[in-house]
Amino acid sequence: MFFKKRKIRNNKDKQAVTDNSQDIGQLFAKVKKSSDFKQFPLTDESGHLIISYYNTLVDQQQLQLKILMIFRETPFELDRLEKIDDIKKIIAIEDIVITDNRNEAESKLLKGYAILQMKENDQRVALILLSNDKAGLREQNNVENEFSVVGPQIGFLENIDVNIHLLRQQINTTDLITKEVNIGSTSNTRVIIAHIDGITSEQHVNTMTQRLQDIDFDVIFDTSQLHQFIEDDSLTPFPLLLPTERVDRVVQALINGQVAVLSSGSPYVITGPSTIIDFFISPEDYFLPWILGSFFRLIRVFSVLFSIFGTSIYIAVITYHYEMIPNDLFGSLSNSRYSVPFPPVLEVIFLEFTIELLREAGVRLPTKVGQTLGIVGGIVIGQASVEASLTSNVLLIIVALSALASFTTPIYKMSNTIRFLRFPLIFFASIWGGLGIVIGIAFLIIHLTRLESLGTPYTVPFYPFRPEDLTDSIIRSSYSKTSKRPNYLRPKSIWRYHPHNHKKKKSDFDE
Amino acid sequence: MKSLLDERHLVSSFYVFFLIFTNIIGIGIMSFQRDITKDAGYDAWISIILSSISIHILVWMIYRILGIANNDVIHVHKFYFGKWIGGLFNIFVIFYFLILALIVFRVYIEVVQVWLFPLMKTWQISLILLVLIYYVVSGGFRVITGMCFWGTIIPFIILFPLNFFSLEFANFHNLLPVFNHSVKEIVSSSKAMLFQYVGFETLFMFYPFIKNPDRSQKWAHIGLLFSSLLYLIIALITFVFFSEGHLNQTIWPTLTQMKIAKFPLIERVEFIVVSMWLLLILPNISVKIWAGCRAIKKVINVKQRISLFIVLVLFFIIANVLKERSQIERLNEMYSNIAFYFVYLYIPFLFLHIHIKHKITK
Amino acid sequence: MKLCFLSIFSLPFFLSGCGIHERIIDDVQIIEALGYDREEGKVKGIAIYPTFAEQGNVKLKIYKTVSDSYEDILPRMNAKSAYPIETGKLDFVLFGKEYATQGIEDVITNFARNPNTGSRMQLGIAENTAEDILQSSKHVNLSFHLSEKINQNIESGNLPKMNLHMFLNNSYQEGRDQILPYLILEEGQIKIDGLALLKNGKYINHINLRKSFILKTLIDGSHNGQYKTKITQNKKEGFILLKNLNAKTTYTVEKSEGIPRIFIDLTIHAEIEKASSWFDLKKDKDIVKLKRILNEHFKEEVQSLISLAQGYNVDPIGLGEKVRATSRNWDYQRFMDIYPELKTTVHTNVYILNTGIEE
Repeated sequence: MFFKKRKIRNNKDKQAVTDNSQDIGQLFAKVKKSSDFKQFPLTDESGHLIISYYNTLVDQQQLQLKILMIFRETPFELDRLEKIDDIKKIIAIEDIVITDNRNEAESKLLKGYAILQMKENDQRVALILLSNDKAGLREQNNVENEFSVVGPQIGFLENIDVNIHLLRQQINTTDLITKEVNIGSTSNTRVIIAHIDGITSEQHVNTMTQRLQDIDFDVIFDTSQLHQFIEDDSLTPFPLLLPTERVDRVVQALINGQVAVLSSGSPYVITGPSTIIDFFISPEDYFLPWILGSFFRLIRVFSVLFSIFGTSIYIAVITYHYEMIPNDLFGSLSNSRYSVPFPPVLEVIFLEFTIELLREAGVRLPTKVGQTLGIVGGIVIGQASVEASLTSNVLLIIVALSALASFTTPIYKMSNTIRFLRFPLIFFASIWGGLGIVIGIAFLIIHLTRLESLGTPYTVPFYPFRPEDLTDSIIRSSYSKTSKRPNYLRPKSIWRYHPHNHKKKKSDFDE
Repeated sequence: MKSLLDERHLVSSFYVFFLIFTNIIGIGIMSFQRDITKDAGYDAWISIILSSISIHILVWMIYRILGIANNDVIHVHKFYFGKWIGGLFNIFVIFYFLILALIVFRVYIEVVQVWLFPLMKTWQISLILLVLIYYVVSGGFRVITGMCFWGTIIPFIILFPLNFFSLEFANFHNLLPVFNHSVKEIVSSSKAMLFQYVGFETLFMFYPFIKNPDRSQKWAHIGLLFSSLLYLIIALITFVFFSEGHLNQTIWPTLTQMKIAKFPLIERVEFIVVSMWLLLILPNISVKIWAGCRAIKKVINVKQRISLFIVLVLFFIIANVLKERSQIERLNEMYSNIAFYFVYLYIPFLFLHIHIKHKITK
Repeated sequence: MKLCFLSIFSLPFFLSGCGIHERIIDDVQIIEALGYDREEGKVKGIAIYPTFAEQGNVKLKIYKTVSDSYEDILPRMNAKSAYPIETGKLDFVLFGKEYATQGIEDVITNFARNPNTGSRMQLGIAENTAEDILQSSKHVNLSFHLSEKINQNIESGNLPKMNLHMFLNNSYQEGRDQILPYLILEEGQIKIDGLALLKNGKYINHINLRKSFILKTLIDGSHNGQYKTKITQNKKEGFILLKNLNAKTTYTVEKSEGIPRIFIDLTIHAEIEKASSWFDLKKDKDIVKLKRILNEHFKEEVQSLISLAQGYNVDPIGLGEKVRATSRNWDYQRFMDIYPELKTTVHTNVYILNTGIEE
């Protein structure tokens, strides 16, 4: 509903901008300024059957095969074409729109349609789809950033139609509904909201649609921009919606009752409403036996905790609570600190900064150089700074481990958050030691409790506590236990599938 | 029963468990052992059970009172005692909750200063804690409940097992002979124990914020049971760990007994315990301040955001004025007397009064 | 909302200016052992502190200072140190015998007042002066070795469980007197030579290692003790070494008017580690005989230990506590009066589990 209203409003805005003119001639006058705009008559007779298009937007091959062939190669009988509406019978192209609306003509022209006029200055024109979508886009759709060893390696592409195709391949039902919105006053980007009818709660779809329509921005480059516009609360380091490039992840989200947003030109799809635990789930968990999957998921959670708190605990203990170090460890810790001239905070910040530097540099550099740099940075700088007594080697281990641990997060945005969270905690720990860390934890907990994703609490299923949804959170239970959709998403139908009840009858061993 | 508030602000009845638990378990659990053994010696575990039973009855009464009114105690006072007398009671209730929060707040600061950072200035720690409290309370009741939830789970998982390490040095003879104290001694020890349960009366204020409040009574009792069990277990561990004479010298027995725990990677865990205790203290104070501010709003119609700010500033000032331990002790003692009368006289009185009025109007 | 966040994030900056007492691990001087001696009416303090300058190498060093009283020993040492002296890792406090006879309770209760002090800190009494012992321990370049020595002997040797907490428990409690390890120098090495018996924090006397093993079984029982006894039979002399000795004691108090009688029931399970060759362990008869001999032996040992303690008028076993636990009207003063005449009956049960893999 909102969607239609919005569109009308959009059109009105545009009319205001384009001088109220309805004349197609004026459109041509404007676009002729571009050198890649072409306009010529199809037949010998000038002023008849004029075709106009951006030659950078149309597929040359189609133009030749489907249009020029007909009109130029064999002698063409003009009487077959009395009205422009008859063009549909002649040209073998599916998408031909007949219109006298200038605005529609303009927007379609920009999308790669060719405009065909019977006569010059005819207001009623045919818009023929000759667009060349795939030109300039990459063809490879391997997963690059969310790699998994087991399972499909298919990721999304910049092409939104291919992306929808990928989704439809797996969600083979007419219930998969895609709603299209155009966002961006300049880019006019196609944004598609996908959900499964009869599963996803209307409320989520409406909220998402509403928020997307309310966006006013010029160019949408990527879904991650949309992500920032539609978040419930922008004053948070946590991603409140989940961006992913993996097809299986989005499919999983959709069948659980979440909403997905795709945007043209973006290989990332955002799904929501998401909870904090979603960000620590890797699709691989579902392809491994559930015991292993749960174990690795637990490892991931612990590594995240270590990554956040590792260095700040080091600071707190070394700076304020030396009593906590057991006698056997005291010597080696004290020894490693012995020749370091800085207080532990500076030492930690120095090393953390180095690691962040390496990471940022590694991302920017070409792959092959990046690897070399990683080794050089990691080993040489680390070793050298210990030798030069800038840092203690115990700290080097902790910082390196916590950097490593932050990479275990499957979602890149979350691992950025974890990188960031360390620093306030380091600060708190350096001021108030252990108490400071707990103050930091308290802030974190309150903050998380206050967060919402599309109106759903962020920390569900822990708080609000929903024991039935815990089956697929910190641990991944076996498939017979995860047959229900998570309750907090308020799905319209709760059962995903009905597990076979092949419980063995409990009898004695050999009977 | 329909609630008066928007569904969005309500919490489900299950959380009454956490609300009651965090409201009871606050600062007292660090030091209650010494107070209750003053009279009853090592028979004091009986008084923990006795006072727990009495609180169960009071909780039942509170549920009857609020069930009839289907609103909080401020409304009850106004409705049954009229504007002036009711208003007087309401002002008392506001101070009752706020001073209780203040005591917890100040005692925690003292514990931090004694155990962790002797040189830490009161204004530093109180400032940061008050910012935290503001952040919790301004999130509304749902966030406070969330904090209660985490404040129950995290410290319980991390801190509770640490108590059992002291059993390595347990001497079970300490508990013998059982029943060696007179009834009078047990009763006066129960009275000391009562103060450890104070805080459950916030139920008077958050009752309208519970979905299906009539069904939440079960959880209130379970929460109460759970906290008295915790008191009992910790008291018993303390009794076998400390000799009676030694316990008399120890101000914070729970902390001292956790000192003995030792792990391969870490020892002297009391530093963790005192810090982690913040997660228990925070919801404890927050609920009480929230209750006070909510009461202020209902009595004189001041926005909670403003009253909260004023209350926190007052907390900051008073916490810095109360410098010596003896002053805090005196405030504590005075308050526990008031609390005793409030809990054991006023609540039954209110209960009877409302029941009789209710019968008459019927 | 924004204001709230702004204030939260600016707070640490704001507060970091007025920092609290930092105790960075390498900027404090921890002391691991402390000794008190009395010297010409003054108190002498000796502290051992480790330095960790070289990789994997610990050097122990010593501060010594003399003062009128024990309270300002540490401040005086602080004046000698490059870093502030911290007692958080203090694991061992040793008192010279002369100091201990005048009472150590003050020193210890004042340590206990400090939240930095660990509950597992060990205490000890030195045969001559604490200085001798600590001085000779300096050459062992191993940090915390003195407290480890005591802990090890509690785990697998002849010492009953003890530490600062237990000491305080006993000193505040009516019905049990304190015991502390008694350290001597033997060929320049430090040896734990039994237990010192204290009363009200004052040294009374000490008992040897064998007796302290009996005391351990009476207090805690034992799990893995070793015990050697001398055996005479038919005018032949021999020795038996028992190992994996698992002992358990139960007490029953029988109250008559006046003086209570205590029944001590000692059950011992043990393996034979070594025995003199004239013992024929194959024969059942000899084993029975052996058991009888051991029973007799333990009974005598326990009885003599108790009468020894009664002679000193100290109660290290905690017989008072056993009586207190069973009596309604406990009067410690009265108990102490009758303590020397307290009657005990010992009953022992020795089980020989096996004799190793050969007989």
